Amino acid sequence: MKNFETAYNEALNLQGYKKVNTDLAWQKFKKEQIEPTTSAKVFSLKSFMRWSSVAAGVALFFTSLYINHESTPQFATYSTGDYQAQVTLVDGSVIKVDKNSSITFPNFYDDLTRREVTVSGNASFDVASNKNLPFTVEKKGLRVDVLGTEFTVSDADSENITIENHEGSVKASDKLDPSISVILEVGDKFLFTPEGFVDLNEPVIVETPAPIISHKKAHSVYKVYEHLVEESRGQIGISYEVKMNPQDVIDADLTQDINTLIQELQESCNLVLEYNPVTKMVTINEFTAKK
Amino acid sequence: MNTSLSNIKNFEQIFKDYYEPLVNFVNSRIHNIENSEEIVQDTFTKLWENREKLNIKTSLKSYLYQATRNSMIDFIRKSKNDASSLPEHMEFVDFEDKKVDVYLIRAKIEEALDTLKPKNKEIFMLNKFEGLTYKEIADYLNMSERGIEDNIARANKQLKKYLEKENLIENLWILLLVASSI
Repeated sequence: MKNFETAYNEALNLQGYKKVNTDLAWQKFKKEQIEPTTSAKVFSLKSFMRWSSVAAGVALFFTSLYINHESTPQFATYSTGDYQAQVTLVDGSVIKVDKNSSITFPNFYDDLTRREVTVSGNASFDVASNKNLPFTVEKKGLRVDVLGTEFTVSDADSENITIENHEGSVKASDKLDPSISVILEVGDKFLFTPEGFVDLNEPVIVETPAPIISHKKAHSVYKVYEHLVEESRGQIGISYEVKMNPQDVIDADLTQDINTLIQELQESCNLVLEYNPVTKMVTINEFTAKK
Repeated sequence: MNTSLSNIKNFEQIFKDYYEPLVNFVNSRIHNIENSEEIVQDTFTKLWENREKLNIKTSLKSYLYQATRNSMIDFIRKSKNDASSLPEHMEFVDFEDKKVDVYLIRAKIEEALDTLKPKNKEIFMLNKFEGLTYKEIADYLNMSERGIEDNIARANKQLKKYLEKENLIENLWILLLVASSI
């Protein structure tokens, strides 16, 4: 053992030996030498600043990370500069990241019980449905749980966050106190403040309304059309070839609910509606007063 | 294609095994830790870039030290613009595996130090790296000299056991036997 003892003692007596942060050195090396060989296309496209190009590149980049996931960290962070980008996660969920924003997301889902994304800045989500692996988004003190939907989280100001749901439903809750929560249905928009959630869609409730017997009044056809569009939150539109004389006047009670109003209008006017299952919109093809 | 080097996981392992010993190997010659790290990063960059066409005829360890030595000379040439201005104490001619192994062992010792109990580690480091005598450590820590001696003996035993587990002793023995038979 004499030779080993000598080498061992020599190793201990090495002058000026310094402990080096090898993990940090490896991260630096990987970032500079290994990752660019798989992501060069992403960053060379930066100059184009086009949604589609960046989106394709980012998707390609993260797909390549997925393929090599044995040597890839479980979570990655993507930051935009003065451009927007679209990131496609490995489950097919699409995240549109606004300028000067960043997201942290899983490169792969091994050993995860949920798909967890953290946002800084603004981002919109189109989440691929997967009931076994809930999708959660965290932003400052806000947490959003979703199963499959489209929604946006954005900074309303330095303190408050706006959350707007476009499809499906989501549950938004306070990270620190999950009992403070709201369910957002399609079209719902809430403001998350340090005091809780504020429903931006909620109408002002008059506590003691006067009893309404009849509110039928003469309105121009155009005024009624505007009312229908507004009350349906844009779900009712008008065809380019609609037969409508805006000067026509019709009797209508605009205080009643929209379905009853449409039913009444179909009886009292020439109102022809067409439903498009693709756009999920109703188009008015004809709207004139009965002669 | 050199498949073992093309696998990122394998490459990471090689990087993590050799980075610190190589940096210290370079630092012992140029006495600048930042530049030493830069030189070793450069070595690994070349290894990564050429991973598919590389034909390593000797051991990977010998290749890495030879490549690092070359990177070091390149670096000094670039910074001084004249190889003749290399400091006199630089030992380029006596490059041997045996010397290289000392750095590998030391890197493993550094790793193994974390397996010692904190007190044991402190005593060992004060003696081996700070050069304090048993008596000085005993006074400093308010312990008996015998206690210090026991602690160091225990640390030595544990560190050697760790190196044994890492198979370093065996590898070193083979190398030393080969070297002595030449």
